[in-house]
Amino acid sequence: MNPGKLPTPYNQRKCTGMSKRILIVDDSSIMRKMIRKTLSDRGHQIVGEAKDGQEAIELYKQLQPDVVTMDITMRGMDGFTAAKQILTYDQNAQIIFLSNLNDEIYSEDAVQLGAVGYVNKSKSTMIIDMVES
Amino acid sequence: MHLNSKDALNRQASLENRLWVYCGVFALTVMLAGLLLLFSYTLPTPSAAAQSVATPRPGAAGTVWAHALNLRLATFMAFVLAASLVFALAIKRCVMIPVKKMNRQVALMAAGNLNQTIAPQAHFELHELGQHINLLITDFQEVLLLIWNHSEHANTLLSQLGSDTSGLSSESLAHLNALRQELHHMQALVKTFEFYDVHLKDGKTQSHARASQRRHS
Repeated sequence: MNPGKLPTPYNQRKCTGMSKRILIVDDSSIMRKMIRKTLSDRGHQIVGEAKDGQEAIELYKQLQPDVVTMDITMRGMDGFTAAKQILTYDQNAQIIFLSNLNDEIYSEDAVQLGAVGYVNKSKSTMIIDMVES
Repeated sequence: MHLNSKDALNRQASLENRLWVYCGVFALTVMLAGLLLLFSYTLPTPSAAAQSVATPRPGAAGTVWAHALNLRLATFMAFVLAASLVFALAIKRCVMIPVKKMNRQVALMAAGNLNQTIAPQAHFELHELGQHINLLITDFQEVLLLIWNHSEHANTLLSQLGSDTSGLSSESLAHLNALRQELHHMQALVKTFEFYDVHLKDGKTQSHARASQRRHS
């Protein structure tokens, strides 16, 4: 990158990879809407949305998505428990945690669990890189 | 796609239907009591018949009829009162009590306790209302935590800048301080809330549930 030249914003970059089938898991409708917009603007297909961990497990088995974006704090079953059960069902499940919790503390837990990565919601556009990598 | 919640809603009784049933039962009871009262006018009372045979005095039957009528009216009123009482108790049980309970929880939420959740209700109108309030509170918590995270990130950038302000004018420094104050006020506002499963410690958002899972593992 040339010095002084700003990186291209995420929403203006071209999608380099194939379109992915994505399951969004978040108890907040605003966040689901935001993630849906961020990813569908890049040409990815949102195949389902779940409000809690239990619903996420059922939808994962039913829809078999390429990638799951998983919140951690949810009323009902939390994201870590749901991710553990999804990974028990399918070891190759691609789970990306997307949470408001501190990434310094929880990103290690996420990786140890077998997730692809951890993104703080305040930097949610970083999820695009993870989905497309 | 929320198959579970839809199924749960379909299984729940409708408050509207339940109220119609209560109204119907109340109306039928009153109608039945009224019909019994009307029907009873067409039959001679046993006591009146006996008295008219034993002592056939003119005017005596009229007095007996008046007593019988009072007794019938009193019975009718007792029926109506009993039906009204049952109806009022049913309304209290299926509407007033859950609404009062929800009202207490919503008042706590309004006071900043976002860790409150409205429990599932027996009737789907109230259940839906409770779930929508829960969603509203969830979204509110998310927005507040996003504000916290963004302001924390801005604070970090400002503190990095703070160590090297030699080249800045006094006006720029004043702006930076004002910005720090704004962020401080914003974070103080967020800190006044109680969050569901999240606490703010040393500027970091941490999960109660995850901490307890770690302790047990």
